[in-house]
Amino acid sequence: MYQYDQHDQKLVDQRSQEFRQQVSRRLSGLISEDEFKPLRLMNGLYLQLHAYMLRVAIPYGVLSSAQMRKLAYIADRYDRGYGHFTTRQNIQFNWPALVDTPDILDELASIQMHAIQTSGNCIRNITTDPFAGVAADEEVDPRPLAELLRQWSTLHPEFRYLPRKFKFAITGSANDRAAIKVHDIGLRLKSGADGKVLVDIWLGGGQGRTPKIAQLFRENVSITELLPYLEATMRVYNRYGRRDNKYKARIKILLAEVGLAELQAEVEEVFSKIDKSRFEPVEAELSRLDSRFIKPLYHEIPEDENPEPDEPANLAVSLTGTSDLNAPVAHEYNRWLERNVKQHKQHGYAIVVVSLKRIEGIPGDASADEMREFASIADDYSHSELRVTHRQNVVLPHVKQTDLASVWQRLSDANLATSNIDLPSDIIACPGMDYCALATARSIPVAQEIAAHIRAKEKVTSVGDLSVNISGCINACAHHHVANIGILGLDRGGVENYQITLGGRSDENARIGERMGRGLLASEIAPAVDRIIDVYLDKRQLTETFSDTYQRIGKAAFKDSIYGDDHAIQTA
Amino acid sequence: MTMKNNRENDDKRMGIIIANDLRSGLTVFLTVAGEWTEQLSEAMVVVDEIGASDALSIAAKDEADNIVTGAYLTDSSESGEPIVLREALRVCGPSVDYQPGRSYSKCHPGLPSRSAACQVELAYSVSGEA
Ligand code: SF4
Repeated sequence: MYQYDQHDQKLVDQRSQEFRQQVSRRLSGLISEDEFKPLRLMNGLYLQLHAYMLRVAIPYGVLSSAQMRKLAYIADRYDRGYGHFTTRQNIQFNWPALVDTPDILDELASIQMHAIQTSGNCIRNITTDPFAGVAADEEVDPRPLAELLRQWSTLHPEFRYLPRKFKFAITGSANDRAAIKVHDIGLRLKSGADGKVLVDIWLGGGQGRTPKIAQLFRENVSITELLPYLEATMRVYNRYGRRDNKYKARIKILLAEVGLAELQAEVEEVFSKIDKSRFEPVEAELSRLDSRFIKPLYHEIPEDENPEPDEPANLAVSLTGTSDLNAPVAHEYNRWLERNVKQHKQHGYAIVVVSLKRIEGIPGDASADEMREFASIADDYSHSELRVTHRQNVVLPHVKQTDLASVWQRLSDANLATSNIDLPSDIIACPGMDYCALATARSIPVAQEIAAHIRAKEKVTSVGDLSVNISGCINACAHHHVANIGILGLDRGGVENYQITLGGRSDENARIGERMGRGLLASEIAPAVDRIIDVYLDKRQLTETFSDTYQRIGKAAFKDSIYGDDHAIQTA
Repeated sequence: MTMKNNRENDDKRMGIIIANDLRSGLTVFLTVAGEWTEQLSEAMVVVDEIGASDALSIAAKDEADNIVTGAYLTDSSESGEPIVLREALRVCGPSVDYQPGRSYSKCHPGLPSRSAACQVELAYSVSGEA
């Protein structure tokens, strides 16, 4: 993982000191709330329904065990003992006092973290593949470029007051786990014929009230041209993005209004005039950044040796004395291997995804004790490194296959071994009206109902990968538009009402889901999701995914399962 | 300063003044004594326009004096319980058990906050009030 140099550290320290003075001026009444609000937002501090909320950046979702421990400490010392991991791979603390926030920022700075640009109309935390650098299918490790973009965009004087917030995502794999096509700019890194990195720039994706899939804006951009090209793109957006209407201010609207060709021409024009030497030498800078990533020293395992994870039966023997493969412990371990363990590019290693979607738990929440346990397991088994996923889970990226049973045992003892990664109960849920001042309905209790309802089905059927995302308002923080089953909470005359969209997906074949029809009451959602899954299980052919089946058979059967005569829907 | 008033029907409904304490950020309510409390049971229920106007003046002054922020008047029942779901959640805290084993629910001390959620659901979803 990336280690700050003296410049990085100085910037973060100075920013923390600056915020301390701003808070002090606010508390003493030297500045009003109207004057203070943009300052606190630039430091990730919101005022939500119950209290302040501090959003801390986790650049491209990578955390050391020391950083995770510090987050646990902050949760205990300054908050209510827990934190919430978000779809931008950040963490939010829901109860910090304003008077404590300068100390919290100091604590963060002490372990190379901050809350800069986690809010406001600027370039937000850059997200990437949570398996970056370790995925078996990866062509290019996106982390050095993500770090370069982080440094370029941090406090960039030209881009501090954009028309609206701006989100980048990067992937270096053909299998997109970073949802790049629903970001303002998505970057797909590829390995060119001569071994040099090339970048496809996807532009104009986004969610919210006008969901859009990004368009391919420029293909095969060289690494040396990338930064000036992105700067040209941002300059054009900054110049022409609509500032008169915040609902039309994102770059996706600019793209839709002026068209692809005209926007490309405008960017090319600006690009041609940019002094490229200002960005040189990019390749040298990338390798300098790469050298500041601490690389795990993998234990070399000969290719002809095939270290398998400990057999479920062996685990059952060691834990219970029985060699019965159907013993509950063996069954649970096997299921966890199947769902939560992913292929690593290093022979003999595995990627472990820890689910933060316990049934009855709150999606994305982790207590301070759990954070400490993640840190401790990472120290013992994952080279002290962790990742946060945009699906609100935690990753142990470097686990020896022969350690998998021990890791499972540790997680299991901490009630963190829920084996549901990418299953329907691995629900993305935003905080909704339980916390968020912008919400029109609650998301968390509905997500809990759905998970409780469908968990049994997951266990007895081979439902497989199927995404269910629920947002508490049209801002779509939970990415409901691109879920296989998307749920949007609205307010209808003071009553929470939930709209269902189907057939969305956020991978390399991203699609916006189709809206089914009138909304349902909260109590009707979980049974409806259950019936939608039944239609899929009934109609799917061979290895079809939910999206495949939906595309093949269309919406009628699914819609009928929601609203058909058999189902007493009472909403108007 | 113009104060927000989110009451639906100014003539017929009672209301309370709700705000965030500037230093802690926590939800607070204006009391009869013109102070701010975290306890809903101590909130002043305004019953007419004169009371509402007086209460909003105190709130505006306290905002200007940097004691609270974001103060506004919201509809409530006679005993001060907010009528709108969003405000009910502000008062009760999250409707989910965010700290299993520990409760911070303001409405129902000692009870898991989920119990408060059930009541919120009963009041607003089933009867469809508001
Ligand atoms: S989707 Fe809406 S309710 Fe949910 S976190 Fe985002 S702004 Fe808040």
